[in-house]
Amino acid sequence: MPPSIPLPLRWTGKLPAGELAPLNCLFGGGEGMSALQGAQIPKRALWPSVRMGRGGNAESGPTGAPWINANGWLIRLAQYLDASKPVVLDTKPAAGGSALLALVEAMAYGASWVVTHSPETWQGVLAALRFFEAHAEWRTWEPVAELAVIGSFTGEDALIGEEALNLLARRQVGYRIGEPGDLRAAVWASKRPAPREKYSAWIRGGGKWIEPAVGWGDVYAAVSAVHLALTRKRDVMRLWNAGSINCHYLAEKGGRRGVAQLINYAGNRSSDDTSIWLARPWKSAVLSTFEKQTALKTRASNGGIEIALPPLGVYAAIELEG
Amino acid sequence: MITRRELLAGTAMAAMAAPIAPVAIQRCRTYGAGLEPTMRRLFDAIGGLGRIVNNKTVAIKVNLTGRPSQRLGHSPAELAHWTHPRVIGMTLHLMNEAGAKRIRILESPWSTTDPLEEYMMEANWDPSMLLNAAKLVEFENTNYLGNGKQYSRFKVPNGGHMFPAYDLNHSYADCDVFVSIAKMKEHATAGVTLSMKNCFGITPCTIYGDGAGEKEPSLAPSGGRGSVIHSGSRKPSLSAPQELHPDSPRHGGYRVPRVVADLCAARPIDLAIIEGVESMAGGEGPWIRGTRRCSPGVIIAGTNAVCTDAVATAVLGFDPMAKRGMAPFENCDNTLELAEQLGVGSRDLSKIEVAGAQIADIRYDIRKA
Repeated sequence: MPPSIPLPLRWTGKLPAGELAPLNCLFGGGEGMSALQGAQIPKRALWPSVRMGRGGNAESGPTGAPWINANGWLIRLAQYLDASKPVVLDTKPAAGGSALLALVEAMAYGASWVVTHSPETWQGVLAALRFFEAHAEWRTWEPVAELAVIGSFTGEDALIGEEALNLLARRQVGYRIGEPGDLRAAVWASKRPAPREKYSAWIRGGGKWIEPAVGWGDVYAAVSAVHLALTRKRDVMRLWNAGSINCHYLAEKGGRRGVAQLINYAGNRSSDDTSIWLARPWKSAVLSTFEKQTALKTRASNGGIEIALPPLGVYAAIELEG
Repeated sequence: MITRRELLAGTAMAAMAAPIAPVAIQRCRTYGAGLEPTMRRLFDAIGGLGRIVNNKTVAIKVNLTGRPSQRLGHSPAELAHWTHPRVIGMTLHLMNEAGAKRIRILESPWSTTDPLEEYMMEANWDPSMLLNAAKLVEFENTNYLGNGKQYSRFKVPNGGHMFPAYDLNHSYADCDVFVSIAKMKEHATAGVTLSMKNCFGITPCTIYGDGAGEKEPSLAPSGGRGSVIHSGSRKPSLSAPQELHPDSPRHGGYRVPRVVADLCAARPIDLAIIEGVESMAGGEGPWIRGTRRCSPGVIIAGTNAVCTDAVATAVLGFDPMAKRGMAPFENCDNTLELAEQLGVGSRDLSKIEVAGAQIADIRYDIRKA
């Protein structure tokens, strides 16, 4: 993934006063559009949020965890399907929605969001943009994973593959899309016959090939079965009291640095008493927000480390070393 | 809330001599190295584990209520509302030493057919620690049919308060000895969670849960037991025995203690272990408002669940003879009284021999925690 990506501002005919960097192009007004001509702009992107029911309460799935409208899977899939083109999300602010959440969600996954100027959110948006640009190298890091998700993600496989990616992320299962390589397990996310023979050498080498026994008719059940087949022994992270949080956990390939990015889909409502466990026994952890950095106390636990987190806003990154 | 019919029945049942057995109390401040000698003394004080488990298949219902992803603040579940794995592991180790042939760990995890080991891992437990604590250890999720071919029916002696019988996972029948290892804590609906209340969770949600099948048990559990047991707003699956008194109050404080008493009469607890080294006050789980961590620093055991729970109730600063309206039964009936009426055991402290530490010395007023 290129470390440099377009960071567009929605063109409304009048630019906000002051320094606009790191915004580097305009969207929608004709001028500066060339920077975006090579970008992928997924039409299916949603305004990120906790999904609310008619009664105004958060909707939840069978486990009781809130449903969230998340785009992380969509960005990752677009990046997988065409790694040469940057991904830009062009979602329009929803009433009561958080522009900062839309921005941080896109940027945490290495994409960008078409910024709409609003005096109320402007300073926060600029701070977030600068933060992610200061950590542009994260875009080159890999998801920490044990599972490869394989499929065509097109045609009749599209719905299965996409929902599988969404739900695996929601279960905090670390995965990569595509060839299993050095990963321990792979799932075939398709109703079509699995091409096991293509992966026979990898399977002989100890790779675990997963086809959920329940089939893919009910993707929620299938993903639960995949997690069970993988077993929680292979969890790369676990979260507690993290109802509306997704974690995008990356590490430098072959390196000694990582980052667990926590995206709180409840927007500006803080998430209290969240804890995280990481299977890798990192030596140090620092919590970075747009305003400050705080050293975190880690506790050895179950072969990895556990961290009690302070109240979390819309975004925080746990920077890891060792 | 008690009808004349129930009052007369209860009085008649209470007139039966309720069994009595000694209860042991041990001070225990941590789950560290002192746990083993403490638990040895605890079991020795009630006559030793050998006479209970030697050459037997032992089923242990542990207390893992709620979802593993939910914690009280930052506290791991075992330091607040779940039985600590070291207490379970030490029990397994000592039972193994005492000659237990096979030990099965049972629980009905929230809304899932996942194996118990997976559920424990979600809470960041390492189940291999338990598997390796004795020579033959098994786990079973009892919230559905599980490994059985059919549900086992348990009839409530003396008629029962709420249901005449209960259909449960086979594991509660396929054992010689049944053990309840509970966390010592309060309970928002039933006043206290002790060895008997722990057995509320032996009811499979495929029959007694919100998503239970109407006629037959569902294949997988969904949700909790709110509608069938707490509020009585729906029936259990029709394949199971139905309520004795459908016109009785639809209130959790009436229904839950009766179901718990019924269950403990139908599937008696042979060994009750109540773990209160670290716990929580104000309710049974982090989903109850106003709950907080506390450290009673005690473990209690006995072979009669009512006697053991009576002693634990007193240790927590309550009167086990308390009537409805008195702490901790402000909004519910007293489960101990209801179980006593069914002939399960006595809650009369004046008749119960307490070994080891004494209640007065170890008393921990949980309402002040």
